[in-house]
Amino acid sequence: MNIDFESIFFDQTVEEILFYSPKIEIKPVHLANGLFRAVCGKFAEALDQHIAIYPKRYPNSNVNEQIRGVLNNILSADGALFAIAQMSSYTLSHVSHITSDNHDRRTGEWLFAILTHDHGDGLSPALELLRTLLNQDDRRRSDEVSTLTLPLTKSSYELRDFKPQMPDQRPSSLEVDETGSFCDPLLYSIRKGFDCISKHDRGKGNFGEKLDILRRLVIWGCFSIYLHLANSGSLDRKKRVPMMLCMVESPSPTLQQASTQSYQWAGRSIDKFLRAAICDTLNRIAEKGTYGSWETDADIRQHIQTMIWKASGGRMQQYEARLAKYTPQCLLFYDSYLSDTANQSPRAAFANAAADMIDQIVSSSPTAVARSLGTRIGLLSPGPYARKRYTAVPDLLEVLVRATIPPHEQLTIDELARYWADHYGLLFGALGDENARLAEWGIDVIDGSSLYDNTDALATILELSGYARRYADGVILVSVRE
Amino acid sequence: MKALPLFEDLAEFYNGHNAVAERVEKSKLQYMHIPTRLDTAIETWVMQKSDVILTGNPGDGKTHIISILQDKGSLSTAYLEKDASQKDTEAILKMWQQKKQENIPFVLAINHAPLRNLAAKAQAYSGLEHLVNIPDEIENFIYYNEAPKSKLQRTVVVDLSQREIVTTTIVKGIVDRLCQQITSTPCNDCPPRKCPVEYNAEALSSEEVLHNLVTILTLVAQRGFHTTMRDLIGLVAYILTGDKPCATRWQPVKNDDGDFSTPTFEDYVYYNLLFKGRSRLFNAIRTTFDPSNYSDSDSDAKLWAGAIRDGWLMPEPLVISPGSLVELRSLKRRYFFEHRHDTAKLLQRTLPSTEYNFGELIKGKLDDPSEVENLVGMINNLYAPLHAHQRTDQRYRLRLWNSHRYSVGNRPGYFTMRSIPADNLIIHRPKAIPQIAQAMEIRQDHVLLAVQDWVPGDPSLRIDWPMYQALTSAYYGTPIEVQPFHILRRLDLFLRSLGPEAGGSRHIENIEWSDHKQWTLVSIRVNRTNQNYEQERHA
Repeated sequence: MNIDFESIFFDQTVEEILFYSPKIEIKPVHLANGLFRAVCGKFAEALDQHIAIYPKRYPNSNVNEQIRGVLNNILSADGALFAIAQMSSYTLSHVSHITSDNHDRRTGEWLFAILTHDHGDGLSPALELLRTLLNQDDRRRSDEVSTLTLPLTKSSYELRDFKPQMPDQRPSSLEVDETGSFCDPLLYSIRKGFDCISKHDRGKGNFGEKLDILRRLVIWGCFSIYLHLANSGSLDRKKRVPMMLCMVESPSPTLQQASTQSYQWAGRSIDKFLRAAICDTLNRIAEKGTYGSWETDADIRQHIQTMIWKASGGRMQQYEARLAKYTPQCLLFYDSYLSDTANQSPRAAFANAAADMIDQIVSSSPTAVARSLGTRIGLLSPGPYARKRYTAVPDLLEVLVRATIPPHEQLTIDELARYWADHYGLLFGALGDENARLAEWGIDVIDGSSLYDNTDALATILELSGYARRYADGVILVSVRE
Repeated sequence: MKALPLFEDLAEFYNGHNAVAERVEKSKLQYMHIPTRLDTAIETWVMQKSDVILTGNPGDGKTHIISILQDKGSLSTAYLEKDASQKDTEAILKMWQQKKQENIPFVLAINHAPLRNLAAKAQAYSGLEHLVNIPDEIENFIYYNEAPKSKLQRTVVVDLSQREIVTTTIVKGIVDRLCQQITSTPCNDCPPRKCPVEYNAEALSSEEVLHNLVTILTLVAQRGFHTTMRDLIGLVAYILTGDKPCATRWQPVKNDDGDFSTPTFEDYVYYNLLFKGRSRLFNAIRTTFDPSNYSDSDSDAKLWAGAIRDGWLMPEPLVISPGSLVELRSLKRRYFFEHRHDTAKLLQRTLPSTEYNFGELIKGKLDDPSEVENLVGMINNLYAPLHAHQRTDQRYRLRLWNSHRYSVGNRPGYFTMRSIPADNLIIHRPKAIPQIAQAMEIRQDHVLLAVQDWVPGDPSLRIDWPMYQALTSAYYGTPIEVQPFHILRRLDLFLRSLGPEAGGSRHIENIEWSDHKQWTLVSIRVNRTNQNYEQERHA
């Protein structure tokens, strides 16, 4: 029996563990569409609406050209509007904008599972907040985007039920212990962030703040996915992969180097996760014997020779061409792991070769998915891979602060730094023990003045954004003041 | 020149030992004290058995004032805590509680952060529970519309970080103190009538020169710079002495190219030193207003030709035609300080219109409704830039602009569905709470654009120098993409908070879309009931 490589070694493997599938670039608007769909349990995919907002594909419409131009500008602001509605994610603000587009790769549903987890403290307030905002009555739509599209959906506005794909047997990333608690404490950090953001915004949204609230929750959702992916290979669930933020405009070489090195750890973590997952899958199918033996070199070479690398269909390359391209590549990888230098057993060598092949097979590797998502929310600097570093644009910083500090509370910058370090692995220099924390990951030392300047730069952004107040003797208090 | 010890004292006031009250000998401290209305106010509060909290930033003069009044004996009936920032909060509160029971007024100098700490812990101390309101008291130290009621019982909080010390009285007081001995003792190191320190002291003793110095410092303050007493004394000390004793003043110095050159008289005159010193205040002065950097149509050509011979406050050195641009720059500075002219008119001619108009806004020179309309027009123009002939009601209705995009990056455009008439907005100016108003002047570096009958928590936009600068630059064509993020955030917050003022949903909504890159504005009307478009194009 031939083996469908992508299906078995990526889709099924990842599905069982993560549930969401980081194999195609996910934009924040995709995640918004997926999350809102899961939260509302509905989607619209209104055809009249799609025709009106996509003049390039549908030149004829009963809507005025100028209005169509404006609609197109607004709803395609995130660059995810395409000829087919099912493949489009609008820059949405209402349930009538939700489509069945699956480009979120089920991240929305995964986050929804965290929001609906009830371990005695109820569901997340984010659910009610989102449902209220997204389901505003036609006559009371409070934001410009959904009001502007109101005439488009009058005749074809029919909501369809969304069918969740979450299996009864939860993926291991959402595993709970015998008491019903999530096994992974990171999920609580994610959930707490959603709850905290929602508490700040509870009762708002009727007068212009709706779009801000939606954006904040989506940015937090994207950050959560990045965080989860970046820590997916971590063996110690209480320890976070470091993310050294570079907040100064021109960082010192030591700070820049440390930030880049910390970013590279996210890639290593994802890689480690993939290798371990593929190894487990391989051991399992070997035990079951569904595809025959995986013991000897000859067995494995046989499997590689007959492997179906990618599911057929769509615009993908034809079977023969794929076979011709991928098989020798996999054999090369396999041989290198089998060589005297690596000296691995045939099965281990294949598991590693298969992990190397993932980058070739899927549209975007999980590392690339995380990188692109991180860049799109302003967590990672734009630019080439080698010079990537962590940063935090003011909008993201705002979300992080709102996700951390509950209403009517305030933290000193040191307390904020400790929380971020412990819960997210974010470092920026206020703790004083950053170098010790980074040293555990083999990351080079940052000079003291750079850390000081970095903290000062972050505090200045918070101060200018109205989230921090700097007092004499260097004390900086951070709070969310409405 | 006068005896060396005085010079060393002066030098120490500039970025040195004497700048910190805790380290200075009593005699020097008393010598440098400039009595103000605050001294009398503190004495009165203590006499009335009120507790007094002096707070603020380092260098604001908290410890200094208490020390001076203590030496004067006017606080003998009070318990004094001169540097509470360095002490254990619990110990302070215990002592305060004890003094409260003994009916002894408690006077303390404390920085902002420890004071907040103290307020948070005060709840546990019987009789001091009201101190928990201290943060509110600091927040309400300046008010805009109605004076807030104090929640503190017999306790006065004085936030010195809000004090405006750049007043003619205070600057003159400092100059007089520092010049006193210079003018009374002739210099023996410099050539006769060539001692720059004597020249500086004589010039700064002139009311006109002093007025011009205060004018520049006021421009700096207007931009939001908080000058501390320490900064100000340091500045005067430096512009008098150049941080050098006359005995070594004329020795060759190494310049930036590594060559040695002999200093000139012009190197040590106050109007040049004012733009050379090293401190936050000097930096702020350099970036705010240096007369040599601005052209004046009335005087520049005449100065260049050496034609202005009359009207100088200091007849020597004689004014001659400058031989280089460097000399012209120096002469322009001298002209600003030492020539008899109307400084207000000179500033009107030389200052960029943005700076000048901001000053007028702060001072309330134009009527407030017109200023509101100007600001409304500028805010609208920032989000929806239009050519002058297309600006119809931009000044009369404030649109509540918004945009939407989930990824970071430049916004594709701005839209608005709600607006409020400019008439619903008003300008408020900061005022000190009544019990403080008599004691000190507060900084006037901003106005508040707010809704009518504003109370704290209501929508308001602080129009300070960065905001005014951004709005003006947008008016003259600076695109929104390059505006600082904090300006946009402050505007966003203001516009969002105005939402409830603009009413709820309407039967017919008018949505405006601004393509700020193309400078176009499209207006689309949406009928909610019929669910159809009614279009209208503005430009």
